[in-house]
Parts: sequence; structure tokens; C-alpha cells
Amino acid sequence: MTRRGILALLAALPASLRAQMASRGVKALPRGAPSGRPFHAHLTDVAAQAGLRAPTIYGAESGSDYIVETIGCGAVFFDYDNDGWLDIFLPCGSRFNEAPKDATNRLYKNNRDGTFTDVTEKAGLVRSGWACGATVGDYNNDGFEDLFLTYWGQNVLYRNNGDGSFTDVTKEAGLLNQKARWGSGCTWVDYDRDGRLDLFVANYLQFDLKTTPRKGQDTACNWKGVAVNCGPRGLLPETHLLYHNNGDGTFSDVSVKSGIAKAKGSYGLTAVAADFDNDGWPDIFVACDSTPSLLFRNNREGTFTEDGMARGVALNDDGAEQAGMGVAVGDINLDGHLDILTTHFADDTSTLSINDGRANFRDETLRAGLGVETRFVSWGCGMPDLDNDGYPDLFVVTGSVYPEMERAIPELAYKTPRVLFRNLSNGKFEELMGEGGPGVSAAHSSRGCCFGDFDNDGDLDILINNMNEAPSLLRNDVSGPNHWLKVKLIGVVSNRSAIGGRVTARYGGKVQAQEVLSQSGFLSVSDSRLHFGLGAAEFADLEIRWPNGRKESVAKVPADRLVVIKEGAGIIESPLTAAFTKPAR
Amino acid sequence: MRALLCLLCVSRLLCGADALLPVFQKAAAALSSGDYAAAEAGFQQVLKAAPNHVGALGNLGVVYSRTSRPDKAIATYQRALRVVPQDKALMLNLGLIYVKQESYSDALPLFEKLVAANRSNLQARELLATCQINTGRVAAAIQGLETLRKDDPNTAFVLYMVGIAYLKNKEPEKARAALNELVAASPPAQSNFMLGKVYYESARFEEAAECYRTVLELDGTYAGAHRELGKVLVSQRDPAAETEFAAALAQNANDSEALYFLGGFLMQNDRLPEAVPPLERARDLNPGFWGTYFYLGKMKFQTGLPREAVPLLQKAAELNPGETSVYYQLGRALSACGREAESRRVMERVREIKSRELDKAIEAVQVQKTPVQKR
Repeated sequence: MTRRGILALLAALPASLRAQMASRGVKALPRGAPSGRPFHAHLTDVAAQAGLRAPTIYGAESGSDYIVETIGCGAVFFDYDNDGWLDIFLPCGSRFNEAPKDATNRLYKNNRDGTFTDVTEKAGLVRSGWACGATVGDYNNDGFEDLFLTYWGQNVLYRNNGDGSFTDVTKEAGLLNQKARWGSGCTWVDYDRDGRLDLFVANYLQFDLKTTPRKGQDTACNWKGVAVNCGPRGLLPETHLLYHNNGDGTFSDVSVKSGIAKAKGSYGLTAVAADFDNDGWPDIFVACDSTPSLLFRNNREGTFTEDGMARGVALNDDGAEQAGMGVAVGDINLDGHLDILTTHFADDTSTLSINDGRANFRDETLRAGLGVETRFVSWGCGMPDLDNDGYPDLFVVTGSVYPEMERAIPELAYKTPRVLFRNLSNGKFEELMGEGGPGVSAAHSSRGCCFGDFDNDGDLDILINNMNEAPSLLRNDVSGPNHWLKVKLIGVVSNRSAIGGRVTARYGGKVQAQEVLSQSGFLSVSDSRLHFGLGAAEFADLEIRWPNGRKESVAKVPADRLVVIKEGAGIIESPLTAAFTKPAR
Repeated sequence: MRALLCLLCVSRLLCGADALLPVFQKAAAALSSGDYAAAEAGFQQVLKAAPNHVGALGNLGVVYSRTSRPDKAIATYQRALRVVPQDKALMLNLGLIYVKQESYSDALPLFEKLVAANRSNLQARELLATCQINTGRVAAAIQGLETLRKDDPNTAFVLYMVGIAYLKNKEPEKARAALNELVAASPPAQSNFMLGKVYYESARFEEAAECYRTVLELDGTYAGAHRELGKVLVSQRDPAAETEFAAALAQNANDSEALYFLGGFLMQNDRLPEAVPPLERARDLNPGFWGTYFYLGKMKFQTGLPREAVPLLQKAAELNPGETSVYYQLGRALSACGREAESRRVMERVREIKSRELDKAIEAVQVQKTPVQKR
């Protein structure tokens, strides 16, 4: 018996020479009988009625000649004007031929009545180009959230002026590239715990129109026998960047000094900074496409060691690289440690990696029941507790990268539905087929998605960026008796955004950890107010670990409200809480 | 394939060390009789006195190959080829080891040389086509196989390979024509069995399953049909695979492949304790196959016994030094045992292999050096 035997057992096909994203040829496991339990969340796409009608332009609609047209971009929920209501930022791409004049990133202000107003121009954020990832954080600690965007070309840092406008400060911040690069994942991270947000930037691959074969020019670039754009495999990989915040509005490139630049040969996408080994210092996980993913562990003296393989998050359980696109981080099994969900290509499962608390991960994908879904190319994802039952669920947006495949092989649709797995609370998940509402079953070619409570009604809504379409805004209407609690952290000695701050909530005999992240999903940014579904519990005990390591506790916090906790001061009165006008259920 | 390992290097490889002749002859006799320990000791003795003794090197390679030590066999054949670079028997033996390891890119240049030296060497031509198919050079494989088909039209193996090559090249009509010939040349059950293998190799699992079901309809006792159907069903994640393996084992309780796949299937379905007996039995029946050690080691690691996992995974790595999944599990198990330095070394090996694979993919696309016409 030869290698074929084991490959068949792994249900994998040889991929060494493939020039596309990693796909394992995995067949879905049979679905079990439905649990029959009611699901109390109902998601409806209200984007059009909310005023989110402009399409996100990204590549040719009929088929892409180059990979840069297919990757798409993230989605952002953030409160840029500090009024306690989530606003929306949507990056946008371009086209090689005749990009529409209004192809620009967009900022939408929340009108606090379920609608939004496009304030892009007023905010000074009109920009065309191939935007990719976003990260939000108050890098100058002035009380307003700033915005960093990655591009194929030149990344951009926008400083929030605090008056509803932003200023491009890329050059004065020292963030101009020497050459055009394809920035992808990015995340603010106070890696040296000095109270100032530093910046990590992942790069996807080296892409040059002059040297990259166009679709059809190289026979190695095909999928299922149909000519498609080349990459990522076959194109030159990249290294990643770390910028240290000098505290004066400028940054220094410390990629080499910190050890980040040592990691070579990867196609980096979403980057998430969080403390995976529970040592109080932020680590950085980068989902990598078709190459081993990276876990940069913080050495606590300004350097990192890339350790993804030994920790069990670089490859899947079979030792194979996956398409590594989206990343969700959360405490899926309620043990107080941060677990990781990554999303991948079609014919593969999403991968659920469970953390033992020391950043040793085990692949629980099949045991958790996620092996039933392999149909779609998967991108943005999250671990939102959509029905507030106290157990985080799994949500994934999908969409093919090859519009042309649909014409050749009709069953390989370009637009595909969202995937929702409900947490059954016993380590298992159940894919809900239709029970999540019309917003889940609708088909789109989606990329970034983020989670937040845009209407401040105590549940998690979902914003999704779609390719060459208007976005989706899935309003969640939760029924039933479950309670919830939101926690907003404000740093004082720590960075003001409290990025890297951890809240461990104890409620109804359960424990759940969450951290303030400044990128997750697929190149996206979710609501920085941490949301805990509490189930039947009417209060929670909170332990806060600030980004600088200091701990605080708040006992018996009543449910169904937002609490604002300021470093060193406990729960404070804040205008942010006034935005929650609805009475607790 | 008509022939596999060309096992014994002939005495013409002796290079004049008369005093060593009795030792060499005794070792060669031990090899012929299957006394591999005596053969190994004898050839080692010759090599101690004459390190470039090609006959001893070649035969020692055979000993290593027969005793499932492919890494040592490869090193020994390579050492011999440094002494006599054009020796065809050594090239063939080394190429066969590489093919057995599925290291097709390493085997390819050896068979290219053998075919260039002798166009009438049908075995080398078949092996060259096998390597070409498995390294993405399907068009070249088709060209070679079509010539082989003319030179040797009645060979079922060639038709089988032609079918696979055309399927891989997305030419289903030509594949069908070759497979029809295959069907016409063989009894129905046999032809469907071979067709099933073609479809399985091409990952066309539904068609493969249909072929094997036809075989079983025609002849319910056809050797291997239940096992092959079970393998296809494993790829389809169909729970009915278990029934097929049970039927295969009812026919032949010593079917190591069926035992291995059954064990792997049970593992996949989280039935770890049930998976142990078939995997251990498969290992005992076929101790040279790395897969059983791999799965047994992985299972030990998954059940919190990394110390017991390490030797099993080390054995798997020894038997298949090119397989990253083995090193990956081994590295994790070593780390779990606190053997961090060893773990780092093993993971470095994974990185090296992955990096080589990535380089090959980049080479395959051959990013163009001249500017592409811009729109």
C-alpha cells in the first residue's frame, strides 16, 4: 500500500502542484437528525431599508483575470463619533476596466432609527483602489477611534479628528511603503504593553500585473479543469510587518527586530491579536492561504516566536495546509480560553481549534460536527451568541472566487448562502438549515463580515460585505427569555481602546472569556463592546484583565444592559449607556 | 504494473575484490534465501574492507528495501550510483523505491535516463509515464503511453494508465475509448474492477463505486471488490464502508489493506478503541507500511498518550520520510512530551517539505519574465 491509501483515508487529494487555493477534496459527513430545539434568533437583511444601497465594487463581474479581483475586503462596525451607536465602514475595490466613478470606501453614520446616512465625503474618506483589510483603534489615545486600511498598493492610516472627519496621516506616521505591496490582514496590538497601540500588517502575496499570468495564459492555473486566475499557489509569497508606535504620531518598522520578518513563505490574510497562551501578553495569529498559518507568540521583551506548527494551529489535523481566510476567536467551549475557528475553500471544512489554555490547540472540527458542511468557499466568520443562550454559535459567510465556474459547472454557484451552526452546549454543533431566517439562507458572494448591535436592542446583528453588490445588514430579532450583558472597556494606563483587554464573565455556572479585538472575521472589525448571552442568568460576575496585565473584578452585574468599565474606576456612568433606550426584557 | 522491485543486483557489479568474494557470495546466498540479517552483516563486512564495492552496495540496498527501510535503501543506492553513475540496474532499483514512496519527482529523471538509453525497455517506459502523470506532466505521459499502446496493444495496464492520463487531462472521450478497449480485452468483472481503480485514482468516486458494485453483481466473491468499494465509500464518508470492509475480511481475514482502511474509518468516526485491533492486525501483517504506525501513533496522541505515540510516529517517519503529516504529528507529540528541541527539529522538516512543495508550485506557474500585455 502506498501514499494513495492514506490520502484516501484522509479524503484528500494531492495538492502539491495545484496553483489555486488549498482545497482538501473533503466530502461532507452525513448530517444527523435535527435536534428539534427552537432557535430564538431570526436574521433579516435590512440593508436596503437601512440605506446601505451602494455596491462594493470588486473586480469584473463576469470572471476575474487576476487574483487581486477575487479576494475582496472586510467590513467594519465602529462608533466613530462616540454617540453610543455603531456606524458602518465598508472598504471597496476597483476594476481593471472602467471602474465606476463612485467605487469608493464608504462611511455610514447611524441615524439611531435603523437607518444610516452616507457621510463618506464629509468625513474625508473618499478613496478608490483595491482596499482589503481594516483595523480600528485609538492609536493616539485621544478618545476617538482611528482607522487603518490595507491595500494592494499603499496602505492608509486615517486619524479621526473627533469632529466627524478623518485625515490621511500615512506619510507623517511613517507608514508609506517603499514599493507597492498587497497588505491584507492588519490589527492594532499593544505588543509591548506601553499603553500605545502598535500595528501589525500581514501581506498576502507579491502581485505585479506585469509579471503575473493572466487567466488562460498558464495551464497550471485551472480549477476542476476550468481556466481561472492564478494564485495564490504559484505566485511569490510575502513576509509580514510590525510597526512600533513611537508615541508622537509616528511608527517605526520593527519587523526584523521583533522576529516577525523571519516568517517567510506564507500568503497571509486575516490577522488577530489576542492572548492565546494566557500569559497576559498579546500574541498574533495570521490565517494563511494555502500555506501554514502563523502563530506569533509574544516573548514579552519586544520579540515574537512563530510557533504555529508546534501549537497545532498552522495546519489541520492531517498536517495539511488549508485556505486560511477568516478567523473567529472566542471561548466556544466555555473554559475561559480563546479558541480559533478558521474558514477555508470549498471541498473542505472550517476548522475549529480548541485551546488548552497554554496555546496548545487540538482540531475538534469533526468531533464538533462541523464536517457536515464542505460545499462553499468560506470567508468571514464569528462566534456570536446569536440567541443569547449563553453558548457562542458559529456564523460563516461564503461565496466562490470564480464567477466563470458557474457557467462551466452549474452546481458550482458563485453566490452561496451563509452557514450557521448552533452550539448544542455539549461540544457539538448543529447546522441550521433555514431556521436562522431569510438573511442566512440568502445567496451572495460575500467576503468580510462583522458582528455588533447596530440597533442597540441587546442582540448581535451582522454586517456583510458582498462582491459587486450592496452589503447585507442582518438584523437579529431574538425572541424568548434569554438575558444578555454588554461590556465596554475604556483604557486609562492601557491603550484607550482597551484592545487586548479581556473580560471573563461568570454566569449561571458558566465561564466565558472574550477579548477586545481590532480585527477578526475576514479582514473585518466587530463591535468593541463585548456581548455575552447569559441564558437564564440575571447577572454575571466579571473579571477584567486590562491590556497592561492589571486585573479588576466587578461582581453581580445585572443583565440586559451595557456597562462601561474604565480602567481603575470600575463601572462608570457614560453617555454610551444612554444609547440603550430599550427596556430590558 | 507488470513488475515492481528489481531486487537482486547481479555479481557483475563485483569490482575485482577477489579476497572478498566468499564473503560476498555467502551474503548473496543469504539474501536469496531470505536471511536478511545475515545478508546485511555480510555486505557490511565487504563494505568495511571495500567501501566502493558496488555489488555489496547494490545488494545491501535490496536488503534495506526488503526489510522496509526505504530511507537507508535510497541512501545506499545513491552511494552506489556515485561510484557507477550510469548503472541501469541501480537506477531502476532506486527509481522503484522512489515510486513506492510516491516520490515521483525524484524517480522521474532516473526513468528518463533509462528510457533514453533503451527505448525497448517497456517497464521503464511504463514507470516513466507513471511519474509524469504524478508530477503534472500529463501531456508527456499521454504521448509516451500512446506509443506504448501501439508497441504493446494488449497490455491492460497500459490501457489503464491511458485512461487515467486522459481523465486527468480532462479528455473524457479519449479516456472512455481507452477504457472501452480495456473492457473489451478482459472479462466483465475484471474490466469493471480495473475501471473502478481508474475512477478511484481520478477521484471520481461515484463512478468508481458503480463499477465495484457491478463487479459484485457479476461475481459476489470477486477478490478485493468489497475492499475497493469500501475504500471508495470512505472517500465519500459513507458509513456503508464499514459493511464492505467486514465483507472483505469475511472473504480474507488477512487482507491487511481492508484492516487498515477499516481502522482508519473507525478512527475518523471517533471510534478509537474499536480502531486499535484492525490497525494493529494490519501492522502485523504488513510491517513495512507506514500508515498503520501513523494512525496508531496519532490515536495515542489524541488520547493523551504522547509518550506512546512518539515511537509509533518515529517508525512511520522512518518508513515514509517524505510525508509531512507524520512529522507534524510527531512534532506535536514530542512537544507534548516536553521534548521541545526535538519537536522544533521535526517541525523544521515539515517546513522544509512544505517550502519545497510551494517552490514547485511557483515553478509550475512560471511567473513570466517578460511583461504581460496590459489592458
